[in-house]
Amino acid sequence: MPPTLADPDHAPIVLEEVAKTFDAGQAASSALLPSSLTIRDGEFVVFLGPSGCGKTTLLRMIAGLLEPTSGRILMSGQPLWEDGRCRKELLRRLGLVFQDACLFPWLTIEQNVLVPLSLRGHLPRRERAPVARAMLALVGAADIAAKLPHEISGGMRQRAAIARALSYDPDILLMDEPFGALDAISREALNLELQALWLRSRKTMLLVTHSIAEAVFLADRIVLFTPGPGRIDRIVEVPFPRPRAPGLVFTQPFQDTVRGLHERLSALMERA
Amino acid sequence: MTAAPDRKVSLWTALRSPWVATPCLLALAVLGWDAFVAARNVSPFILPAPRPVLGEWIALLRDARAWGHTGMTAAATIAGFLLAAVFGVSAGILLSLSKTLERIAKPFVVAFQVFPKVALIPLFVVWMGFGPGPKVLTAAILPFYPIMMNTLLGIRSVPDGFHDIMSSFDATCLQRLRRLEIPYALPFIFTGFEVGIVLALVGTVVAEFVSGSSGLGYLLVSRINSFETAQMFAIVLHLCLLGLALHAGVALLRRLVVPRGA
Repeated sequence: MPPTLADPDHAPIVLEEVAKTFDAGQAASSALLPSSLTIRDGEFVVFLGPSGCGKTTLLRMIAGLLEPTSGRILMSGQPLWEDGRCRKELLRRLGLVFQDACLFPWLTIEQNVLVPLSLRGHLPRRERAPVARAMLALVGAADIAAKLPHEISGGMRQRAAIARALSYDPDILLMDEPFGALDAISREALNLELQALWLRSRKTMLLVTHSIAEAVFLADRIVLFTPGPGRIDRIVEVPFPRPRAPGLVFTQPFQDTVRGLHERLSALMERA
Repeated sequence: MTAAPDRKVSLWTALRSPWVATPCLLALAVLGWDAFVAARNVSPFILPAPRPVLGEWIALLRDARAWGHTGMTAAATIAGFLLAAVFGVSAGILLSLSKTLERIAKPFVVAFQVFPKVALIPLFVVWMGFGPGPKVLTAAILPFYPIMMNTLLGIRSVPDGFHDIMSSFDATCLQRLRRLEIPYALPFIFTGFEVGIVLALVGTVVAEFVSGSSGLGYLLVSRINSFETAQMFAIVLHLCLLGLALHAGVALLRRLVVPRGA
């Protein structure tokens, strides 16, 4: 179990009053009101909420793709953004996965996994290919290494995208609705794989989703977001022991948690 | 009785195949041309019948000097096209680097495109004499714009997600260009090349009309000046086939260069 009291100097991610406002002509709109959160080492945190609640905006700010309007993002105590620039040496600790796998269509899966390794050049050339194959094996995609992205299923593409994000051994994996475009059966299989991956690697994981069941199944803590304007509503601890079996979703405590979150979300949506 | 509908269906299917329908249409057009010339009794100075044109074309193929002219035209076209490819792709990449740069350069680019560039050929002759210079320059100027614009369009079409991924890999500008933008834009660039090679041929032939003493364009003008209309048509046919061959060359290059998945 992760420590209950997080030391902010060593927590992988600390958000201090992070806010984002988009300038759309005269009407500046708030995408995210000031939000604070500490993500502990090795924790699985899920951002849950409907679209327009700022969860993806916050993830993009943590990923160094979007600058916060105010507030600070600290990674192991160091600010990610300084003087309007993202600190590149901190980006190396982050792996990124989107809803679209974003695999380069002209490269094989193995070559795609190799892209970040060769861009960063932090491994000798000869050692890269074995790493790529090991990462593909880790996500259960070893036998598609030689295929092109359009030749494999959406689920396999997502596995490859995760392998690519893990290839340079980041401490934190950021995932923005990684399984949002998949069918329910592939999605369930990948949720199980992701949990297994997390248990093995003990990396800090941050996943954005709008599926309540997915959030409850995967998360140590769920950060519930609410729209109009986007903000953090509450943080819910999910107490179920690991590893969680697929059958968990049919148990009463699981369904109670899902129902509780669902009622809270409905109430928030009505008010918005 | 049972065989009849089957045959009907297979004939219809065959006609819908481009390998059958296209040659059929071509044959129909040539027959129509022949019938028109015969029926209206058109003077061969105005419009010769297909048969003498074909005869003249075969004579052209046996003429070593005609092959020399063909080589001149092809060489000037390819040289001009290669210049256009290098400068067009470079200019497209340059414009893609910054929206501001694109906005500043756009008026010049549009002015250059709408201007009838072949009107400058006499000037090119003054500058460079009656050698291959004006031809190559004209062949380079006509395809420049479509190649540049297709390169720019291709790079601009890279989805945002790919850029985000490259940012998360901490890619430099050059890495982004070499590993993402150029490979992504390759199919667009080759579409520009396919349009461009044909424009390069147009540029060469028009330049040959105006200047010089060699090339198929020159040969064509000299034939029409001596009222050898059938020979002129044979040269047009020859140019048409040269254009097809050059286009096929670029298409082949596309298959070799553009990766399967893109």
